[in-house]
Amino acid sequence: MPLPASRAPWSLRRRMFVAVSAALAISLAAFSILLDRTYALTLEDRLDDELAEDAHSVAALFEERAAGRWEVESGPEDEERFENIWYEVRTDDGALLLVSRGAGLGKLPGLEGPLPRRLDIRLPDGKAGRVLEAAVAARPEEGVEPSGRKLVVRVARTTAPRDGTLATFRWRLLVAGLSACAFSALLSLLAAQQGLRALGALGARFDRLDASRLGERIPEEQLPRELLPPVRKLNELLGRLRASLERERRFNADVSHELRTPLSGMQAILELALSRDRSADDYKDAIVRARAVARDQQRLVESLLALSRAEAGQLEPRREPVALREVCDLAFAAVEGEAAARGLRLANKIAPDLTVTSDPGLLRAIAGNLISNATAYTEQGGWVSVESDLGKGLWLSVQDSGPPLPEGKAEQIFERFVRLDGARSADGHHGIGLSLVRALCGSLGLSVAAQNRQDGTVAFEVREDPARH
Amino acid sequence: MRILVVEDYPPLASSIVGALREAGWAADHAPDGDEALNFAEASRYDAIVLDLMLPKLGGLEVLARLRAKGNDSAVLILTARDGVGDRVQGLDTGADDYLVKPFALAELLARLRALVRRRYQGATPSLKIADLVLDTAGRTVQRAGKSIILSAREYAVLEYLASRKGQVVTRAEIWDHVYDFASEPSSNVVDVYIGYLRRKIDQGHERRLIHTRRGLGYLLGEEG
Repeated sequence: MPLPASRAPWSLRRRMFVAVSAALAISLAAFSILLDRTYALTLEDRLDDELAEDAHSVAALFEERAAGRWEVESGPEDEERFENIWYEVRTDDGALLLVSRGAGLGKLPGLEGPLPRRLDIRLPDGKAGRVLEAAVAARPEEGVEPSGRKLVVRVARTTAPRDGTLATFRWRLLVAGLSACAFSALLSLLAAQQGLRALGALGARFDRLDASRLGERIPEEQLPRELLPPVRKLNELLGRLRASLERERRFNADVSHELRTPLSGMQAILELALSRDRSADDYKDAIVRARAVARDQQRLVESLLALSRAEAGQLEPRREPVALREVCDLAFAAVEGEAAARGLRLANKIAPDLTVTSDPGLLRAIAGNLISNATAYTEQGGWVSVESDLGKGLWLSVQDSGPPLPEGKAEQIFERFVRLDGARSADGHHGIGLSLVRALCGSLGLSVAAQNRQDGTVAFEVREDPARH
Repeated sequence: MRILVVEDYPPLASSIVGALREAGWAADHAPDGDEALNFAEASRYDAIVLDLMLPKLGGLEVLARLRAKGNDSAVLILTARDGVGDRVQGLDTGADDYLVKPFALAELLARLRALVRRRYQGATPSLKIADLVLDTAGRTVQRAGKSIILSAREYAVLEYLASRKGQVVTRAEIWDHVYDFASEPSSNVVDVYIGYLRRKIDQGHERRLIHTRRGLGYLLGEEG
């Protein structure tokens, strides 16, 4: 069932785009706010400076006279000078001395704390403004000793010019910020595209991979560093896959070869028998030979099935006491005829009371294959013997008088369909017996290995697998 | 005709050899590569049926060595390997034909007949000497439109003579191409069969086709 679209993971391009755009937008916004605050404070400082100047100008209208009195010297030109501001002048004990036209600054609830005090207010004419309340020393009249008392001056101005400048600034900042955002989003999109190009090329390369072209590996030379580890891993996997497909291909070729040859044999026997009228004995002879081939083929198919089950781990071994000597006796009984025909001596040297906990059927198959193998390949007049040494983890040691295995072939013989003489034979040795033994040992937690001994004898040893016990 | 069968699977080998002998051909069996080389050196085979997976010496190696020694027997590879690469390699190593197991005996025999035919007489399956006609596929013989019944051995001798028509063929050559190593050797058996053939083919006809070259051998054809 496909995932709902909303749950589908984002594409890399989208992730990169969103991440880069968001980071840019946030840092741009933070920068803009900082810039705006700084500029607003600068403008406010400048306004406050103007107000302070106004306060001094207004205070300059007064002269301190003797005995704590104040004299205003104001003319019409002063009216003009102070046309744009509001002011109120009081003594430091609160007596009102002078009020600008229209008055109305009156009591300002926010104006508290030590002087000078500043506050954004609504002006008497309803416009936005800012007021400054400061204590200003007035100029004393000539000859009068200054008392040190100060005038408390309130001055207010409209903030319209400042607000206008700030609004223009903010507007420009917004436009510039948004354009920067859009521009960098575009750039991040291009960068993402550029960055993902290598990934796209790699994807196209993957697209061309199929079972028939596993021989190729993904070239690692011009890849960005980030893509190297997965591609290396993939190349490694491809190599392993190639090897395993090759093994499978060889196995199939071997199986078809092994099955086709007896099939041809049977077909030829039957066709020849039917090619003309024959005596009953001739027909009987043909049927007997065809049956022998069929039995041979049946053994092969059964071994192949057992092998594939064991290799696929489908066996479920039982665990019960098994007498090793009895297992080998059965295996010897099966090859008695052949051994006698080739003058081989058989010896079971396992103590009668020796038992292990394992699967009796699988152990019989292991011992049977090893003993039948030894019987078939030991030189005429030699011997085959089995022994066991559980104290050393050695379950079965099937030895024979030789000839020794060819140099360096002790491992190879456990591969499927490997026969050292390259031959196929009609006696049931298809070259799967030993690979079956190894697979069965694996499913019982045992290991099997072959070795040539110093004295020219050969030993196949089944041991507890140290990795499994 | 004499055929060598190189095959290591006994039931198959014995059936092929049996079928060849019943077809009136001489057949020998080699169970491995070394034996195959020995047989091929010991006598001249018209065709060799060669398996590829052989003990001791692989089939392709056997083929390569035969060709290196100048052996020109027709070689038919009979194997379970069915890949195109295997066929190409087999034919390029010097094989004349390639048959994949499992196969029909009848097809194997037909292919061998075709190989031998090409070797001696060209493409047509019938051999003509004056008014004597041999159909090598059906293994029938007619003279002047009348069928002649021959035993398998008589036919084998006549076919070999016919395939080399106009040439003098020695007794030893006839023996080699008609009898395999399993046959009991006998000094005058070839002469005996020539006698039978003369009676069946030349008797009652004005022109005799089987001629004796004293001290040399026999010749099938119109004199002159």
